[in-house]
Amino acid sequence: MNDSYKKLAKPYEIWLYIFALFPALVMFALIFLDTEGINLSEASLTFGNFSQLTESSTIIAFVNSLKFAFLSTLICAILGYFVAYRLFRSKFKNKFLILTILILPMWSNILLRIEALGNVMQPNNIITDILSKIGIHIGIDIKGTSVAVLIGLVFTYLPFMILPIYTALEKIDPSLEEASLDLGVTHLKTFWKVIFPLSIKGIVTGSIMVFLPCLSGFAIPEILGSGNIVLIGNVIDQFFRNMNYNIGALLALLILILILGAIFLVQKVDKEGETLL
Amino acid sequence: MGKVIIELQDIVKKFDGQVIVDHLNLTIYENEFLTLLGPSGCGKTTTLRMIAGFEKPDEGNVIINGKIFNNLPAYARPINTVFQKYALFPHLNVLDNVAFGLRNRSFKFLLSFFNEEELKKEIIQEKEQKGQNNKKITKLDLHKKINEKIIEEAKKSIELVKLSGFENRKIDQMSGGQQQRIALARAIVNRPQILLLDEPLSALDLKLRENMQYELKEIQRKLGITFIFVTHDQQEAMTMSDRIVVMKDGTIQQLGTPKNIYNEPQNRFVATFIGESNIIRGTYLEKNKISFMDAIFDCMGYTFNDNEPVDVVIRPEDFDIIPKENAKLTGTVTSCIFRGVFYEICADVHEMEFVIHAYEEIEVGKVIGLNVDPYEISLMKVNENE
Repeated sequence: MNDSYKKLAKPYEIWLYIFALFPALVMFALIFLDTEGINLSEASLTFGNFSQLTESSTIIAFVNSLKFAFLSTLICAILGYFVAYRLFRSKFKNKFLILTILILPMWSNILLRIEALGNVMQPNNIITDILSKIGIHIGIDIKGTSVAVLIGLVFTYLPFMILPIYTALEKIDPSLEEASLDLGVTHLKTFWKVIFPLSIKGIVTGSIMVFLPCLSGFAIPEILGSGNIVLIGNVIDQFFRNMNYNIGALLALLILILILGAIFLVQKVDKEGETLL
Repeated sequence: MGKVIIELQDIVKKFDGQVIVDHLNLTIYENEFLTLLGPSGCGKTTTLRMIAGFEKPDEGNVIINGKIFNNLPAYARPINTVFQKYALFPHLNVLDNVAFGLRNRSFKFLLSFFNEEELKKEIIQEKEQKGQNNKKITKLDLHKKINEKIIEEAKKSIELVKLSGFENRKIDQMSGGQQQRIALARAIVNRPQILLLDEPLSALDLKLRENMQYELKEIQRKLGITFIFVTHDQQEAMTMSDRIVVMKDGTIQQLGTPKNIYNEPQNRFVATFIGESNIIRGTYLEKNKISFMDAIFDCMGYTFNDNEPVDVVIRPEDFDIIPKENAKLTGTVTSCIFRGVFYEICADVHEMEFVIHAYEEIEVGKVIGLNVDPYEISLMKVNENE
């Protein structure tokens, strides 16, 4: 590439050095230190932080995180595939409009959305209010349960699943389906033998895009779980709040390694990054 | 000609109110190589897709083996297609692509496809060879045998298109010509009664295309199945077909053998679309006498009313260049281009430009005489709409 174009990326490169690489290195250093907050004057070298990894509270939070991330990814994959497939099959001309509508909630602040969702999950809210005015008295009280957290996760991350699956489906040459039918294979079998295998790329990409934020996020379990559900993100949050940067950094880097592994996996499955939009 | 295999009766197909195929009638026979030829948008591919079952006719019937097939889905028809862009499955290798059609059929279909009795005989033979006394044939035995047979058939089919040794290659590792062959193998492995080919050679380079033309014809002869070939390339149609259907605007312009269509075009469209031609307005004087360009020529084999105006078609290669003193037609050479086997000469004859193919170079500006043998003159009814 032309050298002069390389310069265009310089500002962002510097930005990355200052706000991503440098903090990551600091975090890496903190793992092996025992410090008072971020004050390095009384720092001493130690491997004691690693003992936190075997603490049952950490393990429970970690298992919880994996459980919730796995479940919401599964639910998102199933629901997302239905939606993407329906959209892919529809004869509607302006499919982009539908996609935009699906993404629309993502443009509002996530905390506001989750707070609002949490509100609906409590017995008294605006919807039950309106319904009771016309004589319907229903209300749910699930805030603080794992179901609420799961709903919140799926609600938030479903669009990230729909988009890559839809993209993968749209990229399938329609003549492949005709070829399969032409070879005497029924519609249902054609789906499983041709359409589905060719859309797996989209499912993998979408799964990573749902799994990772579910694994590391802490706002949704915090708000919808009312503190009852502790995920690894909440644990990290707690350590940082209590100025225990050493253990916080250790757990955060652990998550980072998981994320890098996942991105590596996506690259293996989807070499050209076709489904990443 | 053999038994009728497909009948298209009065087929009409419209897309968004636009007529694509207009009251088309066509009978196709067993074992023939039929080509639908026409410019793009003439309805040839749509006709093919209606036979394959991808489109339903708005009016009329598609009759295959004497049964009306209008509403039968594509997967239930004894027809396979070679698609224009091959439509090979990118997630499968060559062998799996070819075996796809057989592998995904029902057990019942496969039993009759491979002949149940023969399968059982083979299984018993194998058991005897292995010295097993258990003569009972289980469903598992049959499944195993069928799977073996499918791979065997697929390999045979791959061999037929000369790709043996490439079975485990991925599709994107194959060249265009090879992909073309895989597509063909994938279709014929199912032993269809009818094979449809939708401009399968259009993406190949000239040399490869010519080779494939001969090979396709050869394969058709070997397998003895009906080929319906769609193309816009008249050369291709001429080389391979038993019969050619020339189409334009959703209607059949002419149907006949390549020779018949080339030598006796029925209208201006056919005359100009198939090969080059010089078309001159003339008058049919009386039996075997035709006048054009102020001269009277002998002709043969055509019957019109006396003194009826007709269009005269003379192919460029049918002109003989003779000394101008003895000629009924004379013209001035305006250009002479070397085209390999022949020279393409343009001559101004009675203010009309003629294209003439000759074996000798003639200098520009020279006046030449032209002669045409009676059997080289073909006549067409005048159609004022054209």
